[in-house]
Amino acid sequence: MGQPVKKAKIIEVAEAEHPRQDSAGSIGVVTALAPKDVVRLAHKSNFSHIVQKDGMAFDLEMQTAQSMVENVEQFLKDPVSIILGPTKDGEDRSRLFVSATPQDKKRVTLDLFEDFIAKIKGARRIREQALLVADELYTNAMKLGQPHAVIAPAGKQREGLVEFFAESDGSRLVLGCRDSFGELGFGQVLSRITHCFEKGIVESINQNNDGGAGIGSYMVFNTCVSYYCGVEKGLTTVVCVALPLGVSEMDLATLPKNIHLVSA
Amino acid sequence: MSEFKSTISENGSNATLAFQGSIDEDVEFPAVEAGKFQTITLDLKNVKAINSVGIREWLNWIRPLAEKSDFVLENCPKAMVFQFNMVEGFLPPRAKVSSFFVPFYSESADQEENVLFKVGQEVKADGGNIALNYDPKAAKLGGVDDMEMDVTEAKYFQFLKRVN
Repeated sequence: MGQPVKKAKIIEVAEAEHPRQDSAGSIGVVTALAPKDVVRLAHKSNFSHIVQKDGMAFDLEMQTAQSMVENVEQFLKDPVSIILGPTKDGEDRSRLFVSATPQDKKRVTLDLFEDFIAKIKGARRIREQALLVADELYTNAMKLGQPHAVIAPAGKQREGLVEFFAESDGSRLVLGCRDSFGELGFGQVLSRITHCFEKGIVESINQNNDGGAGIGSYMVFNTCVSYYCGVEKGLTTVVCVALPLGVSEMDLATLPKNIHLVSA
Repeated sequence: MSEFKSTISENGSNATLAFQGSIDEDVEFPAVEAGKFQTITLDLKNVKAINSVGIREWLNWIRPLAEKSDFVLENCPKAMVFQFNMVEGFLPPRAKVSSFFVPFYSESADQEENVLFKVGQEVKADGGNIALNYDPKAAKLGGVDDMEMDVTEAKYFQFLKRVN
């Protein structure tokens, strides 16, 4: 007999309040929750996922949430296969994959993203938002992070790995980053994004002028409709976002946001 | 993406700085002596993008200068207008925006056009009221007749209520 399939509990939440029942690892289903409240709820509760009932693809988001819980390792290895689902027979998905080194120039990678996005049907009107996300992912991983040799828990030095990718199934564009450091702390990221929402960007900069104020994460979250993070401590960090295709920037700004956080 | 460059032209007590490229962690804003110029005009037409670190660099550069000089921002692209609206304090006190680009989109032609709106002409800001004076159909924008403004009016023009 194989291992039983891990299923996440689904809890419907009426407001952005801490749920009364145990929410650890669960999917919180909400309705018309403002972006800042989505982050706050994720931070204050133990929900692994906050999914908006009135979001643009509720069933798909629920399916992705369950799939992330059931296949954390697969998500950390190949996040797009979980977010967009496996490629179907005959399906020709557009895909971009960049393995970056500290010697690379950011401009070269972002130019690849720009060329890729220009070829995606329906991405014209969200091009700037998609490029902003790519820029923030790159800057955070390669400029503010430590993209060089790291010391593994066993004390042995190993080469760091940072990958950037983008893929589209014709209705959504997924952009993401995967590294071999596993240093991301969900609590800290959520706390910093919340701070940006509540106090504003300038105040966040004033309080933390040496980078890491969470402004990049805030901008990425604010731009996307779905934000996906996965961590295996000391080994892997994955950050991905999904943007809908064929919508305008103003539609994008009003679509309810989902958040998914899993750790191995 | 492109590297940041700036050029300066001086005209007596005023100066115009033209920026080009991306404002990010590699940006090197020109060293301008605080108080040397009465008015500094920033031509932002060729600014391609600004990221979170760029916002911090911008604030660190412009805030001390704006204490002693007036700033006028012209030809502001969409990427900068987003920051005017999203980041309170991005535009220093007393700064004016003289012109900025507004995106239009045609669904039928999948075509995008950016139109330069001059404050006082295509858009007027009177305190809390914003009035638009531009008709894409009359202007035959893009050669198609279904061009529509591709931003939320109430959000995109919001910064005008705080400046000018």
